Amino acid sequence: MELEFIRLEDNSWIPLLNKTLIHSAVNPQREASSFIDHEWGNLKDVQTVIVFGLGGGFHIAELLRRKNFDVHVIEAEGSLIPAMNERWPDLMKQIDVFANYPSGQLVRELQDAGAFTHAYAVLKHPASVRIAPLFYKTIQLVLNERTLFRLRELVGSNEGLSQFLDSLDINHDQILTLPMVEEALIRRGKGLDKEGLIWMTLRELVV
Amino acid sequence: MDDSSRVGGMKILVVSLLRLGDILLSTAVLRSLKRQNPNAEIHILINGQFKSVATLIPYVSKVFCFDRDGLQHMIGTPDHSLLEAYFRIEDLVEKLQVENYDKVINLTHNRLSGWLTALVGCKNTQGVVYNSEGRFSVGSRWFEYLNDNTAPSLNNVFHFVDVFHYGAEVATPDRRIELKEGEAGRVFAQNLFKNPNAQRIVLQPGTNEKKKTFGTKKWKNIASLVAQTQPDAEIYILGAPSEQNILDEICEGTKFIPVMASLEEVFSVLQLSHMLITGDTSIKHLATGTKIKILEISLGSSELRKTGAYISGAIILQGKVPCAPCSHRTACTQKTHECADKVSEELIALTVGAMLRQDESALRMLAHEFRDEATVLRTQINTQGDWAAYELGNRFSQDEIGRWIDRTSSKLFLEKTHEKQIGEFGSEGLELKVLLENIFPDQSWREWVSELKEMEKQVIWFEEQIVKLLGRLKEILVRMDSGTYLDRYISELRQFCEKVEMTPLFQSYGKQISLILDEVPTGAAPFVTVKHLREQLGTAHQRTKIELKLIRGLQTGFMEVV
Repeated sequence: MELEFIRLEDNSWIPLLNKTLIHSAVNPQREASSFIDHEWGNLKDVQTVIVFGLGGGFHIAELLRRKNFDVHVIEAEGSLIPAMNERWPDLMKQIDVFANYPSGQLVRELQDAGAFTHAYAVLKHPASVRIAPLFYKTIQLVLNERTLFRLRELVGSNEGLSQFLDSLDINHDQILTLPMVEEALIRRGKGLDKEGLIWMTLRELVV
Repeated sequence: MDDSSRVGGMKILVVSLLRLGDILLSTAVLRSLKRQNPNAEIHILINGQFKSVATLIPYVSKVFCFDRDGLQHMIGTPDHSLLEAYFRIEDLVEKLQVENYDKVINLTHNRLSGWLTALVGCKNTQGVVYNSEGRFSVGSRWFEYLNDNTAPSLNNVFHFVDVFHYGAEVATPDRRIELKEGEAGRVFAQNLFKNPNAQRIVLQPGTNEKKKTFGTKKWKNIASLVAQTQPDAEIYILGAPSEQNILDEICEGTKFIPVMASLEEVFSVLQLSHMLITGDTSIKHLATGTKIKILEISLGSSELRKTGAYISGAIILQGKVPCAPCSHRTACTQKTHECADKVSEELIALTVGAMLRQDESALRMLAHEFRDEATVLRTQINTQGDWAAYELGNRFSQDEIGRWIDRTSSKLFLEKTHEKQIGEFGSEGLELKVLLENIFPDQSWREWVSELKEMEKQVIWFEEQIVKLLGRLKEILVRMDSGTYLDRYISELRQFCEKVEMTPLFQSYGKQISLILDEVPTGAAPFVTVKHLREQLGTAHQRTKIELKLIRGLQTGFMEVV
């Protein structure tokens, strides 16, 4: 992918990917603010945000301005990372960026980075997603495979496990991670049945 | 508790979910279990990556494998559903539950094994197990002891094999590791050794951690020097197939014979060899199941007191550096691999010679000559079956005597000897006396008695302090409303603990009280704090009584010789 930058009057940089602008060239800050306003309902209660698309970073800066989120960014275009490190180092220091990973490995990397430790939200930067739709679609599919909703489907006729998953106070569209199950078990506070003990065993495997 | 009539015919599961070396150590417990319960059916649960070891373990009728690597792969790879891992564990648990065990002994001291042990669903468990409330218990003071001594330390702690035996209540005087030789291994070794009369010295350079071994060049130097000092011996360099490069490098341009072998083959090679030089590896534990002489090089994170060669008469060399033993989890923090540098090729070659000649005085002279660089230790198993590694060439001192008295009193306390009507102070005291005489063979009875009398005074002083501290706790209960009084008491107690922790004689229980002080929850009700302190000081008081009995018994013992 071809990467260029244009400089605005206020000295900020905007990336052009394959000659396509991925932020407003007039007022990218205001555009980002309006975008985050629109998404705020999904974001305000979580601590972790997984962002699809680094772009020029304006939407991420806006996120961090509003709340001290843990931000994990997935980016399809690897060359954007060193370029952004050079142009906006302060912002890059505050976030984790994952690029150049096959989609399969990405979940593992995110998990290792603690992205799934607590409830999180996914924020899709529309312009970035438009440029690499297949990449982000695959990531979304991979993430979906681990949502509680999907796991609930896969459980099949295992009554005990179905009831166990239902007893966890976790949203069905959340990716289920082992630390999250542990937290839910503590919240549930009913003691540990067989299913709970197995999940705790699994939990130890990722400590 | 030896109650073979009750437990005969029972079904027992032993859980050993760490590495290969730990599994080999736990085989000693399997042997003791079988000897105590000849009709019992014994099963073992190990990590799947080490299942090849099963062929070497006698006494076990079924081996279950926990596929740790496979499960971690499933959890971490999105190509698998998380539920695949779940169902894999559920399958294993169902297989274990069907066995309907009478007893489960968990020799693995970690949380994962505790959850799995809980899942087996047996009411009679020993070792870590979680209950349905998510709280863990260990079922024995000895397993608690294991929990208190997980950090690397130079303290005189007990060997894992002994702790396992006492914890599982199967301690007998004969706790050795006994393994089963396979036909394939026997054929391999017979084909390898052409000259049946040759003296065979085996060096094993590879370890699972780089900091636990020397570099290849140093191993080559060691082999060369051993070959020079033992000109009639055949030198074999042993390694796994994955270590071929190391073996090639060491053997290049020499007459050394590289041996790449499976675990079963290695066991047979060791059976027919005379001397093994190795780091802290599972091969060392394999060797303890044979008659080979073992020279153990204890480097890096190797904790010789917990996992040293479990056999009498092995020699252990350890570089004298303040950072040893270091943590498993961190890389070497020194500019050079200092603990390895301190153990010279010359010391190793000379030790090999002295061991082969069975020259005790030469070993002591070496320990003395190299005392600034390295510690030379000899392993010993006493008549009660307890293992110890003591330094050769150590100077006669109260500190060294105190460490061993403290260790013996630890054992008596853990065994609750002081609560029994007829204690075993006599036999333990006798064992301690033999050990001390082995460490310091040249001291006169007068010197012993003089030191012991001095130590008796120290213990009496310590006991008085403890009694005073306990008395003041009663005052605190009366003035419970005054938090300042309690704070001052804790501060004074902390200072007292710091002082006694420096004294080897009180090291273990001074540390115990310090630990409880650290654990006093902030904002805890004064009554709770006082209760904690009273329990710990009460324990320390019991320990002083045990130490006094030991010291007085030793004095009598040394005087009786006269």
